[in-house]
Amino acid sequence: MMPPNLLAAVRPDIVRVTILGRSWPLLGRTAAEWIGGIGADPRQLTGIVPGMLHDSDAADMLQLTQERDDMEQRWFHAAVAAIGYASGRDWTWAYNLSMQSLGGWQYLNGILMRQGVRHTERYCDWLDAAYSLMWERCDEADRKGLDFQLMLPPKDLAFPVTASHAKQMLGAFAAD
Amino acid sequence: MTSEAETFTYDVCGRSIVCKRMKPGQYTIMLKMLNVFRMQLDAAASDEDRLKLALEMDRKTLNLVENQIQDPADAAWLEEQMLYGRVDLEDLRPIVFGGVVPEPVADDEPKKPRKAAVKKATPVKPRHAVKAAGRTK
Repeated sequence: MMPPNLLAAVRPDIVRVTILGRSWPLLGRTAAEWIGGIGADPRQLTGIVPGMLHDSDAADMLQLTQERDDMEQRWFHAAVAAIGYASGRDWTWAYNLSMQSLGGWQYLNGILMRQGVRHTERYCDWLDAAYSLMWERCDEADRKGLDFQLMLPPKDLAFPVTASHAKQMLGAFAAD
Repeated sequence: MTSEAETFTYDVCGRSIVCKRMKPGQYTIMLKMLNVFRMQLDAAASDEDRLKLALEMDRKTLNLVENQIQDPADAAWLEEQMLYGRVDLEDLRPIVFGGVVPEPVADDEPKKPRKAAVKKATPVKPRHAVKAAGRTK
């Protein structure tokens, strides 16, 4: 029997990132907010971090940017981890699916809305719905192609993300 | 070392100051911070509280400006000019916006549309042409 809080542990309602030893809660809840945050700056993900920081945390974060030169890189890696945490999936998969969804938004969102799935659903749930819709409408060969595309490392990112780095970030969240 | 695209020159009191351009993420945070101050100002119970908040906002803006000035000698010179009253924060505020002076908009007035730009961008069909297009043969 599944422990009652297992899904909540891997798909939390409130996503927090750790930057310089401090935990920062993010505002994003819905699919629209997360996909919009990714789409606002797909290269550097500033729509996620610092875009989703609470206004009340802005002054402290601004202070850090004035003291350190590496904040952009820290923000980026925090955003990558946050996407993984909010989606409950590998961040590459969630990022790629979000970008694909943005590309065909009116079609995908339109079909999902007709089926009662709104973009105000939680990010992880909306991604599940979007993926299952795409998967359902594919034949066997296309399904493999879809999965392959979703697992490809995104190109043209501002900073490199190595597999070990991604593991380390997820580990840090598990510790949190 | 910052590249040319990351810096700009701002002229104040006859001196050209090289400033670092704010990164998009920093700009986002600055706007969030200013939003908090505005909300606190609206909710302030007394003039004294409002004054304290306004001074705090000015102090943080000044910190931002100082952080953007590339040469410490320029920062020191600017501080001296402010002490002598030759330069105030309003003269320096454009630095946080990349040297561009934002157009002032009063809170209670709607922004006037830029008619010349709208006219150029969207050529309007004469009414008789629209009516003719709607007529069926």
